[in-house]
Amino acid sequence: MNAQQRPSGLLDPRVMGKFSGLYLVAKTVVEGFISGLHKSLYRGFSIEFAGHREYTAGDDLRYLDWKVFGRTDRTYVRVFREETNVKTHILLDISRSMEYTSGSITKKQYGIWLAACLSYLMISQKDAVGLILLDSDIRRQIKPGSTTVHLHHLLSQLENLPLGKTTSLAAVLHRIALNIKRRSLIILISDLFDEPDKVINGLVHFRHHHHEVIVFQILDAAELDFSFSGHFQFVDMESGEKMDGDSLALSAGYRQAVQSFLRHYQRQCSANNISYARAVTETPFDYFLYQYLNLRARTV
Amino acid sequence: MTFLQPVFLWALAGAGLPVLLHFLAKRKAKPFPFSTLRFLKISRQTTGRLRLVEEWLVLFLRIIIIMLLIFFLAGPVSQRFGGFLQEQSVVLVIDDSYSLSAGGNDSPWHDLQSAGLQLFSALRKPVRVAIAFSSGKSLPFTQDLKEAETIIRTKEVSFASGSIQAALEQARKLLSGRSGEKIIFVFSDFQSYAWDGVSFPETDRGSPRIVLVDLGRTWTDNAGIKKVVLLPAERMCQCQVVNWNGHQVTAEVEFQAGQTERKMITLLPRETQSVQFKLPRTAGLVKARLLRSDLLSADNEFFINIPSAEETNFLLASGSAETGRYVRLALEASFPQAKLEFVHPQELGQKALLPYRIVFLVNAGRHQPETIRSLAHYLQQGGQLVVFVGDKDVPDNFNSDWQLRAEKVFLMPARLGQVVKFARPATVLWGDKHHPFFAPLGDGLLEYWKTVYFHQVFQCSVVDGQVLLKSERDLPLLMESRYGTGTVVLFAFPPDLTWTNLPKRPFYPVLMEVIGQTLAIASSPISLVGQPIWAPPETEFLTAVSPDGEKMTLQGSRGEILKFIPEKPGAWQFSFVRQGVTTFRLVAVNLDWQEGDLSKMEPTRIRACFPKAAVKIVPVNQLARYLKRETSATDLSPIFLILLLILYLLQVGLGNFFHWKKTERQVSSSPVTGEKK
Repeated sequence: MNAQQRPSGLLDPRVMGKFSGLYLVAKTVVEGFISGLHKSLYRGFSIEFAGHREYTAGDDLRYLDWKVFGRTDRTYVRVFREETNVKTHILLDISRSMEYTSGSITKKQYGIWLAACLSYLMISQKDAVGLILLDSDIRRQIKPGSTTVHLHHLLSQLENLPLGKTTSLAAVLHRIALNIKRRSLIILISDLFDEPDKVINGLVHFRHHHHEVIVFQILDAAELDFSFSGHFQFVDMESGEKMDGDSLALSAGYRQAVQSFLRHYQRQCSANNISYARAVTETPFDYFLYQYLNLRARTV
Repeated sequence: MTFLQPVFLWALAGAGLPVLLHFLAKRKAKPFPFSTLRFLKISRQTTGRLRLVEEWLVLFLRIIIIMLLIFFLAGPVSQRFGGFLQEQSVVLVIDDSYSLSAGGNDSPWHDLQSAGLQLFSALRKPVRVAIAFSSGKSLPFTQDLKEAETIIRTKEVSFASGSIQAALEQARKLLSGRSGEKIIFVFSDFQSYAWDGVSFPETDRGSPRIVLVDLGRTWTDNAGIKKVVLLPAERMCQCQVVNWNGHQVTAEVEFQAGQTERKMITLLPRETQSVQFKLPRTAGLVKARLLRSDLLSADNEFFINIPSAEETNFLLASGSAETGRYVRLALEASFPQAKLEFVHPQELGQKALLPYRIVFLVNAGRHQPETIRSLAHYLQQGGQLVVFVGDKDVPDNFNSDWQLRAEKVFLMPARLGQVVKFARPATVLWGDKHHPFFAPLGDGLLEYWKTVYFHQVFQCSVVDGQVLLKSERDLPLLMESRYGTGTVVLFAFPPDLTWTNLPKRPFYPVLMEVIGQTLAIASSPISLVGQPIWAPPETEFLTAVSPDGEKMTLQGSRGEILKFIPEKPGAWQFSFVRQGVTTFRLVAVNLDWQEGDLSKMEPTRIRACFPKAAVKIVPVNQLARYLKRETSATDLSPIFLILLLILYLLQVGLGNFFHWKKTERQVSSSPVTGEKK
């Protein structure tokens, strides 16, 4: 998506980059975004239907069950149970490939902001949020918590990330899946530049433990378009491997390979009931979150 | 194809520029950090090879374009030779042997003259031309084509057979050190005998182009007199006639010696037969003729000069009175009219030897080097030398004295070994009955010799010459060898009674007479056209009178030995003035008999004579067309320009097409937007 096609009033990631703290970024994004959202969507994450009880004065008429009233001529209101036991684990890929950018924002930065926004959103709903930083191993792990103090702790960890290494998601995902006992929401933020089948296997492992899994694949626009021109010596940011080539000559084959790679993830995620969303670093966070939550509200 | 401005061709080195730039560009590729090479590797596997082909195709086209541009600037013209290059050297090797006059007015020689003039008109200036004739004459490189034309136009065929090898060698020398285009035109009838064994020598700076202009004819009707052999012992002359034809020939042979005698002869194809005539009693010029009109007339005649007894002068140099006495007595008995002079062997070097028919050396002992040199010159000029070795001869000295070190030639027929003394007198066991010395004796040769026995003889260790007589133990007694046109006869014993009883036998004066007569006649000056006639040393004036009566005089200087080369067959009169005394000599000059063989060598064998050169054989009647084709210059610049434009457009088109293809791929499938840009 280019700037012209983006809805007006949304938050440009390039502008967000000028904000000094993650808290402020998260607050700006989530508050501004929530204020524009419908309530039902807002509650989509953590409110669960519990049953009916008889209407008493002072109850919110919005929860009156008109269908039951029509059938029985009695007034009942729907009772919701707040899911206080829902825990969320945000898995952020901090490997070196995430450092790539063709503009001003790296995939890693985008991922950090995304993680910060989601944490803010969750904690503001009283949900517990934990953070796992990973590349070829688990670099840092913060257990879920739902307090504001925990949020600040979490954001401070995101602000001081360790330097990542090579990507090896599959093995790490299996290890995490084995460690998380209680049913949780797993959010993976990564470029997924690893063996797709192995990564999917890792994610399926979460599903076997009845976790709900959401995958945010962060990519740079240049990684998709490969719109370079000239003869370059391409250097792999993770392994340091070099390869000479004419970018124009390689572009068509590159794009085909990338499309095939993305399609594969999309299909496999769909087949394994894994929510999958792809974000390009140019896409505004609020827009991305809105799109995703809208989609989720309709599907859950 | 040649170029008007060949200096531009140096720029061809720049044709490699696109390749160089290509690799330089690759080497200087900027490092580009990228998140993953996974998809690039897949892309390279699928599209890399095709891209490589496209890349090299465009590169190849660019190289061709640069080369064409350089060729265009160099001014291409389609011309094999003809003077567009800065340096062009052309040598004409001309076979001017007598065989080219075959056919009279319609001879190959006339064809050669026309062809030579055609060639000169076809060559374009600036060009250097040289000429080398097989007869030995030559014209050094000149830019004056008129001068060369005049030589070709006025030159007459030579009666001398000459040497093709020498002419080619001369051409090589002329071209040696020259740069630029080098061409040799060889004009010849390619006679088998003349070209047999010819091998073109290598040149120092690459082989020149060689164009062989074939002047030979398919018709070869010719027969001739090979030679006339005198058989004085039999008082006969033997006239040998050769038929070069592929069919039988019947003709009359005429022998003019005072009176004319004719005999019919029939010869099978390529056969030689002899006709015998009586040897005239009177001395003088004898002429034999084959009365038949054929392609070559000069080889139908043969001249021989029979010397008179008065002209027969002998010189005897003896180291001992005893042995010399027996030779003197035999010669005085056999040649009562001959002049016999005596000289001490040590004074032989100061003696002028050429006036003597035969020089006898008897038990002479050691010789000064100047004596040997004088004798060698004498032999070279047709002198006859009879040597009896004796007590005074020491084998090592003998073998050393007679060795011409400069020429690496041993003058004697054999080297001497030690004296072999027989326990009982040895006899002759073998003799060459066909040799002229013994031919009159025929099969009774050994009967004559059986009363002759030997007490001792020199053992001849290394025999180079022909053995004529052998004793027991296979020891050579009499040997003969040739040096120059002269003969050396060596007796392995002296006419001394302590060595042999030969001087006392009645057979001895007869033997000496036959040997004397044979050698005296053999010393009759018969020469070939082109062979030099040498004057005696210290001759002040040499006068030669040709068979046509033309008179030529040469004046000698101190230390120089005068020589004259007769250029026509026939009887030549020579007079030599030396210290106020004039001596005369009649020399019969004949054509080389092999010149009459007009059969041609096969083209494959002709090519084999030039193993390391590019050879083109052109029949003389096709020379004009060949020269026209090779020398006509067509400007090829427009063709090169058109080619250049076509290839340039092709290169631009292909480049754009490949670029469009790439961008089309790029546009058609953007995975970000899914839309075309």
